[in-house]
Parts: sequence; C-alpha cells; structure tokens
Amino acid sequence: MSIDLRPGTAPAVQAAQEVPAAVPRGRARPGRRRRFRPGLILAVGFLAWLALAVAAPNVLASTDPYSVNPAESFRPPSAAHWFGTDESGADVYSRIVHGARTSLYIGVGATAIGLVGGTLLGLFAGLSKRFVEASVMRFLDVTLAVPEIILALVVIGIIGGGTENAILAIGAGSIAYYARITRTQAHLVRRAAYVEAAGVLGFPRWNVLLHHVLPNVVKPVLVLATIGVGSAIGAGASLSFLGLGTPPPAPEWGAMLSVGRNFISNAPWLITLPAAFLVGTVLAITVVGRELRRRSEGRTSS
Amino acid sequence: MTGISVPGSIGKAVRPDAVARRIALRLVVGVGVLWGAATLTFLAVYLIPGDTALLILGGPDARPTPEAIDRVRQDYLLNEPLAIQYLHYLGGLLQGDLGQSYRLRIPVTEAIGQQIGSTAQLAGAAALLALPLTFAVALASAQRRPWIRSLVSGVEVVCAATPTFVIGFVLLMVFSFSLHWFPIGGNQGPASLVLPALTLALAVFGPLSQVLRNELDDVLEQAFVLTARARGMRDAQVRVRHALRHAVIPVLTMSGFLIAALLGGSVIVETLFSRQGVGSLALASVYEKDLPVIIGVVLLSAAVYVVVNLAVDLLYTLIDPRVVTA
Amino acid sequence: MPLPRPARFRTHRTLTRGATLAVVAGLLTSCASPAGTRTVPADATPVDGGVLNVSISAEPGCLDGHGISATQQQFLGRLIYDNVVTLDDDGEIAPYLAESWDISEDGKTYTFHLKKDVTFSDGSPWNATVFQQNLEHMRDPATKSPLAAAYIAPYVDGTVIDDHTFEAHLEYAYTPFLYTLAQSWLGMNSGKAITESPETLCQNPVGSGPYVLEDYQPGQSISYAKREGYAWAPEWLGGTGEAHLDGVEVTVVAEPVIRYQSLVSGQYGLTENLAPQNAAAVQADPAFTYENLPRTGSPYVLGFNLNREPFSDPAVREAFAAAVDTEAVTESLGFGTYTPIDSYLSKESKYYDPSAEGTLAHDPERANQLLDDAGWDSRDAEGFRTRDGERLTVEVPTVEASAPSPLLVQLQGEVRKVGIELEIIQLPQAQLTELRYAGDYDALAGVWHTNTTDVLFIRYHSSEITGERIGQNSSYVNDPELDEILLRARGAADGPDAAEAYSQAQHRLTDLVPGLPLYENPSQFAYSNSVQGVATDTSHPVPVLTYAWLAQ
Repeated sequence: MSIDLRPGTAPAVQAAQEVPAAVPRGRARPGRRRRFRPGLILAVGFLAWLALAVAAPNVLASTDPYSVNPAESFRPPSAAHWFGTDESGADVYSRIVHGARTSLYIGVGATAIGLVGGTLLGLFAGLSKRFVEASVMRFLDVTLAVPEIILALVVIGIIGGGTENAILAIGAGSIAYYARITRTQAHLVRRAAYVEAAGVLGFPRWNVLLHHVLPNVVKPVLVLATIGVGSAIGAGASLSFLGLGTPPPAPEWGAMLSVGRNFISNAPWLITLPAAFLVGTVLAITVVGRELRRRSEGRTSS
Repeated sequence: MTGISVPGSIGKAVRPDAVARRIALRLVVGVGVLWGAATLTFLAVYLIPGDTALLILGGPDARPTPEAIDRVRQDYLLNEPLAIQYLHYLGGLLQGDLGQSYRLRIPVTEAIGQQIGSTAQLAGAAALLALPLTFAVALASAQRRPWIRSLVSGVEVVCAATPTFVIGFVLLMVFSFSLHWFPIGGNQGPASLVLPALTLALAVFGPLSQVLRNELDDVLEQAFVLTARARGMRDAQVRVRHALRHAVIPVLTMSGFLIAALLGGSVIVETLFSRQGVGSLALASVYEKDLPVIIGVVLLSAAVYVVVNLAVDLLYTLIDPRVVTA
Repeated sequence: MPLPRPARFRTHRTLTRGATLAVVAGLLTSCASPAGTRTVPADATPVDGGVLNVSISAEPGCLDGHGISATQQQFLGRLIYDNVVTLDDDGEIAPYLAESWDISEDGKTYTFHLKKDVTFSDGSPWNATVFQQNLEHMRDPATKSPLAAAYIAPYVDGTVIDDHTFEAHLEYAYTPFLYTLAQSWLGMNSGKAITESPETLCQNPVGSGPYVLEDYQPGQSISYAKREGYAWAPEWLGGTGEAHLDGVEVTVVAEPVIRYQSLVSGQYGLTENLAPQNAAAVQADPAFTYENLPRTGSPYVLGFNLNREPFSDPAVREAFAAAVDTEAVTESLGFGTYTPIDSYLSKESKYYDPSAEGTLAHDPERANQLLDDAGWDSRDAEGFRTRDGERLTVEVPTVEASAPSPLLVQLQGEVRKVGIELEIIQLPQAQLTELRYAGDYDALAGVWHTNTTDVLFIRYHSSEITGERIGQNSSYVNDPELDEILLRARGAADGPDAAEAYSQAQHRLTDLVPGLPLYENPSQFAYSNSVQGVATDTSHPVPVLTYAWLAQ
C-alpha cells in the first residue's frame, strides 16, 4: 500500500489524523479503476432524463398532467397510460415527468439553504471568540433541540404551506446540522499546527480561512449535502404526508405518494412508481456526486 | 485494582475540577437553551394567524355562543397583549406549571406524561436497532471492495431517501398485510412495537452509517493505521481498536441529530402506525394550535437534547482531549 | 314521493344501494343477498361476554358531548350516554329518559315526565333537577360548547315541578327542540359530576348509558366496560337489561388503508369509518357486513359565497353548477358508494321534497351561454374567461389535511372546461377558521349533519350569518322570502304545515342556487359477521352497540 502525501498538506496534520485530508481512496487508485461501470452509466442516463424532464417536460410526456377525467380514474398501466391513471383520472407518467421539476426544486433548494446558511454560521462560530461561538451554537442548539418536522410544522403554521414555504422550513431545519459539522471541523483545523503557524507568520485571517479552513470543511459538509438532497426531497414528501407540502393538483412526487397511500389496496402503482422515481433520483445524484468528487480528488493528487 | 480512578486520567488536559466546572457551565447553558426554546416557540406560535378562541370552540364547523367565546378568551388570556401572556406563561413555568391544554382541557404535564412512555419505548427500540446496525455495517464495509461499498452505500441512500412513511408502508404491506407476522397498528404488546421501531431505525440508519463510514475510510488510511498493519495487527483488530475510536467523534456530533431524528420520526411513525406518543400529540397540537402543548413538547425535546449534549460533550473530552473549548 | 323511512337493521337496504354501485363492484351483487352474507342467523340467541375491538378514524380529545362538535361523538356518545328522547325506527320522537312529554299550545312550554329508577354510573339518580343541570351545563360558557348550546339556544329557563317532572320554557316555538335532545352531543351527564367536578367531564364523563368509561388515552384509545344494572334502553333497540358485551375497546386508527387491513385481518371487529376505496373489497367478502347510510341534514355541498363577486351573480352560480358533471365526480370520488344529489337537503331528512330536484343538470353548453351572457365572454392566454380584463377566478379554501380529498381537484378540472379558474387554497385549521368567519372566500365545501330539517334554517337563514354571533350560513344567503318560510317552518309543529313550509323552502333554495350539491353525507362502517346485533339509530346512522354480541 502506498500513500502519497500531498505537498500542501502538513505532515503534522496527517499524523494527528485531524483533517480528513483529500487522500485518494483505495477504490480510486489508478490500478484498480474499472473501465466499465454500469451503475455510473445508469445514473448518468437517469440524470440526463431527469434534466430533460425538468427543462422540457412536454418532450417526454405530451399528456397534460392537470387534465382530469373522473370517469378514467384508477386505470392500471396500459399502452394509453404507461403508468396508469390516478384518483382523478390524470396520467401518472405525465405527472411524474412534470413533477420532477418541483421535487428537485424542493431537494436542491432546501439543501442549498441549509448548506450555505449552515456553513457560514459554522465557520463564523468556529473562528470567533469563545463567547460569540457559544452564543451562536446555543442558538443553533435551540433549533436543533426541536425535531425538524415539528420545527417545519411550526414554521409552516406561521408562513403557511406550499412549495416555497416547505423548502424554507426544511432548509431552516437543517442549518444547524451543517453548522455543527462545519464548526467541529473548523475547530480542529484551526488548532492544527500549520494553521496556527500561518497565523503566527502573519497571514491575514481571511486568507487562512479561505486557503486552509474552507477546503477542509467542504468535504464532510458535501458528504452531508449529498444525503441532504435526498432527505430534503423525503422531508418534502413527509410534509405532504401531513398535508403541508405542495398543494394539489400540482404534480409533485411527495404529494403523489401522500395521496396514493390511501389507495394502496386499489392502485399500488400510485405509490410504487413515484417512490421508485424519488429513490432513483437520490441514488443517481449520489452516485454521480461521488464520481465527481473522486475525479476532482484524483486530479489534485496527480 | 485499588484506588479511585480519576475521571480525567485518560487525557492529561482534563482535571476533575475542570470537569465539574464544565458540567456546571453546561447546565446553566442548558437552562438558557430551554428558556430560549420556550420563548421562540411562544413567539412563533403566537404569530400563527387565526383566532385561537374560535379554533378551540370547534373550528369552522361549529356554533359557539358569544358567551362561550368570551369565556375562552378570558380563561386563556387571549385578549391580553403578547407581553402579559408571555410573562404569565413564564411565571407558570418557573413553578413547573406548563399550563392547560386547550384541546384536551387537562394540564400539559399530564397530557405529555400520558404519552411519553410510549415514545420512549419506540425511540429506545429504534436506537437499539439502528446503532448496532450502523456500526456493524460501517465497520464491515469501510475500505472494502468497490462493489461491497457501492451496495452498502446504495442501501444507505435508499434508506435515507425514502420518506419514512413510505418505508413504514412497505414494511406494513410485507409483514402485516401479506405475512400477518405483526399487528397492523396500535400500542398492544411488544409485537406491535417491532414494525414502528424498525421503520424509525431504518430512517435514521442511512445518514448515520454514511457519516461513520466516511470517517472510517479516512481513519483507515492514516499513517498510524498503516503502522499498526505493518506491525502485523489483524484487520478486524485494526478496525475495532484503532479506527473506531477516531471515527466515533463525528458520530457523537450526530447524536443530537439522532435524538431529533428519532423524535421527529416518531411524529410520522406514530401517525402511520396509530401509536400513541409525544409525536402524535405534537402533530395534533400543531394542527389545533394548542399552544401550551406545543411549547411543552418543544421544552421536552430541548431538555432531552441538553442532557444528551452534556453527555456527548463529556465524552468528547474523554476521547479527544484537544476538543476542550466551547 | 317520500322515501320509506330507514329500517333499523339495514343490511338489506344497504345492499340494494350496493346494486347501484355495481359499476365498481362488478360481480359483487350476485353474491350479495342479505341472508347469504350472514354466517350466523340473524335470529340467533345472543351470547354474553367478550370485548369488541373497534377502530375509529379520530377522537375528539374530549368525551363530554356538550363540549365538542366532533363527528365521532355520534358513535362514542351512544356508548356512555342516554338521551332525554330518541328517534324511533320511523324517525319519530320516542321516549328514552323521559317517558312522555306535553307541549303547550303555543309551542313554548315543554313538560317532561321522566323515567324513574334511572341512575348514573356514579350512583347518582336521574331526575328533573339533573335535567335542568344538564341544560345549564350545555350553555355554561365554561363548558365551551361549540354545538349543544346553540341547539338549545331558545331555552330560557326551567321549573322542577317534582322529582320527575320538568318544565322547560322556550323563547319562541321551536319544534327542533326535542329532535336535538335526541342527538348524541346532548346526552345526559351525571348531575353529581356536573356540580362536583365539571372540569373533569371531558376526560372522565359520567353518563347513564349501557357502557361506562374505564380508561381514556387521548388521541389513542378509549376503553369501556358494560354498565352493571343497565335497564333503560329505548324500545326500538329491541332489548332490555345490560349489554351483552363485557366491554368495548375503541382505538384510533387514522390511516384509512390500515383501518381496512386491520378489520380484514381480525384485529378489530368493527370499524366506525371504512373509506370508500375499500368498500368493494369488504362487500365482496362474505365474512363482513358493510353499511353505507346517508346522514340526514345538509348533504355535501360546495357552498357559494353570495356576498362576493363572482357568485353574487346568480348566472355565474347557475353556470358553475351546470359546468360540473356531478355524477361522474361523485362516482369516482366515492368509488361508487356515494349517492349523487341535486338538492340542498338529504333525501333521508324529514320533509324532503323530491319535486325540488333535477334543476341542476350537467349542461356545459348552458354554462357557457350563461357566462357569455353575464359578460364573461373574453378569454385570456390560458383559456380562462375574463370580464373587463379580470379573470373569472373562484377561491376555495380548504384545510390542510393528511389526505386531501380529490374533490376540489376534480371540480377544478370540470369548471376549467368552461373557462372558470378554481383556485384551491390549503390552509391550516386556525387560518381556515378565521377566514371562514370573516367570509373571506368564494366557496366552501362542507356538510352539516343534524337530525332535523331545521338544518335549512341553520344553513340559509339570514340570522345565521356570522356577525356578532357565529353562524353556519356560510353562503351568506340573505333572502327575505326564504327567511319568512324558514322561520314559519321552525315554529310549525310536526305535520302538514311543517311539510308545506319545508317544501317551499327547498324550492326557494333551488331558485337561489346557494351552492352546488354533490352527494349525500354518508356514514360508512363495516364489521365482521362474528359481531351480531349491531343497530343504527335514525338520529345518526352510526353503529349502536348496546345489544351487540360476539358469536362464538
């Protein structure tokens, strides 16, 4: 086994195992890289399909997702309706395609709010004086102390339901997680010898932050964010389950799952198909996200 | 072995009086967190639009008399300005009085007290399932062949991505509707606890396992691990003895997440499985704007959280003496 | 032609209705003869003992009927409470805790002769004083009554003539008085409990009914045990003495699919609420009995707000009604179990007049014509009608619910075809309540169940418009002609005068089109055939378990 210590990484840090340095993983080592990766190809393909569904849903599904026809409700999958019809007779395939936009919007939007807000707060706290840090963290403790879903319920109680408000509620609920992780990492990095040395040597604070702290903080936070997109979509669905998400009749996967569950004995496709797309999307994002990270790390070290 | 072992003996930086001071400080901060949580929730719920009196009196489909409406406003100080309501609430709080539930018309402490055992059971069982599962999976899969890792992380992502209520429904369909192994819902006996606890455990397993494994991956590549291996230590030994100890810190950081996730997940799980508990009480209270109960639930989760955090904090110092600030 | 009054044990009637559901039910009707579905002969000798497990969709959070308005009280109240009077099989007032009563000529004085030797489960007696205490408790502001107090609003005061004679004085002739006294929400509480500990009645109600509350876990479960020595059931129940069951265990099961599955799996013997999507499956299973009974009162109506544009214009109201294919919507919504209706009164209600039906037929062409004539004749880019640059939009608020009914979505799709935009606004209950009483909406969907035709007064009389006091005329109907008719109907004693007045009221409503009637408000429940002797009463068509028993 060989390990390549990157020039920019101080050996002291390595020895202390403080910073999860960007050392290429075993699977990323050139000798073991597999040429054919069906999982990755599938994931990329799925995301491409998804991108098309977001950008131009009408290309993939020409049926109007809002067109209801009570007489045609609960038709099982057929040639006319690939994924069957729902309780109002609307085409499920078309609703899934058109729903991609909202569902991804919720996942990415909420994660972005949590990620940006949390990282900034966490960095600020981790690099501030003790008193300031303690205050910020205690405030975050208050929001962390309340279960996310209850927090979201209260937030939605105040500002009302709907897609944007759901994003805000879910995003706000996750800020504290990112902040905590960032703070812990920032802390460890700050106390590492090379960062302290940079400070002693008179490098400006922001410079240290930008070049030493941020890069080390980004990785664990991004790990969380990859999962975050998925769980945010899931949280959006949970809010829909409680009747607080995207209002009908807008097609949104979580809302479709929420309504479909009541008809599980009559029309199982109303729950299995949206669930498959939801889980598939999150899986694909994760697979592709990891590959991107692996490549970027590989490049730095070569 | 004789003599009293000093708590701080593991790390040189920690002395007993420092530990005591830390605990005291933490407790003070904890009370502050509780006060903050109560205040924030009070303000937040106060801001929820809607006439509380009319809601208490049956919502949109009722015919309360003007006298009843007046009486409700009086009883719950709804005509008073925010400051008076708040001070009155704080006053009660200091005496351990969380007020009276609007909806159930009993003291909040009693309302929560009735439900807490059931939720503790559910969350405890879920944690007992989730933690060993997480550690076993992460230990077994970190730094393994790519396909094992892909498989495991795929399972994690699926668990993390599938909404809790869908996991619950799938388990119900398979184990209750089809196989009839477990009852379909309710609070009766240990059998009725299995599926709800499993649902909740799977919901928290994904994120926990992912973080732990990532840390293990990193640790297993560190120089000291290589040294240990070079000394001829067996793989399993390296994993358990060296890597786990270092990887556990971020997981401890996430124990706050775990508690909140278990409590939050119980809202969904209890609703889905028709279990009684704090989660379903909280949900009903938010729907009905039952302010005293909402604050009560928030205070309860904050208190649990403060205690857990205190414990985590002390553990930090034991595991890694360098993390002593804050 | 008035429909026959509902029979008490209604399996047969339900199944004839079931035949009309054959669209969905398919082959079910072939095996659905009442006798064929029973595994135990209906005349079998009741067996004593056993606990019946019941699932229920929600629970009120308070079990004192006087303090709540929840639908579930119709069922729960019958377990622990007795009422002063009851409605018999024919829907006529019959004795219960009162043996008889006299009504004065002017309809303002009621003299009740009360049954003797009735006791509450705390041992205290039932008498004239207790009756008075109950009426006072209902209207006591501290009870926070959302319903019962309004039902007895004309009650001024009462006189205890002797231990078992009570005289109630009303402000004006109010025929619905006795009917409302038969409702579950107006059951009689123990006088001792009312005096000694009124604040505990919610959690620990004390009645004189066939069961006694044993344990109550709010939001979760309610346990009842048989009342020892019970001997005053109403005659229509066809039994005497104590209940056969040792107890009833009621559990809240919120998810419809789980209520269905746990009924079929045998975990529960009866479910108080079986969702329509599971009806066909239960009907097809010979081991179960399925009941689908309309509740009297106001059916499910999308009520228009006559106070605001655009529904202040009768032409738009008529056009909206003509645009919707009610039958198709109802069929899909209720999986064939809902009965479409085009009147403002349930067909099961007393004085229902079928001649007021049939004016609201589905006719999109007529809808388009009406809208064109009303000036909504231009279209915007999305195809919606406009007038003076303003889009024809209808805002319909609805409560944020775990399982939103597809009703509004389907109505939205229907009226979109004629260029009306229906905007669904999901709100938390608190906001919906405020908006509702502020009149800030264009239309609201809802039902109002009560066992008297006075529901028309509650829904459509101008004095019931929310002002200083809360009212349920959410359509803001303010029509002097209708007001006069409804007031007359309310004061008329049961008989031809009342029938005539209510017939006029129904016709007047059909002219006014205060809303779009959709379907009968159903009570849909199901039970295993091992549960025998389940009755329903005509006040609320919910299961009554007084003499239910479990076959071995």
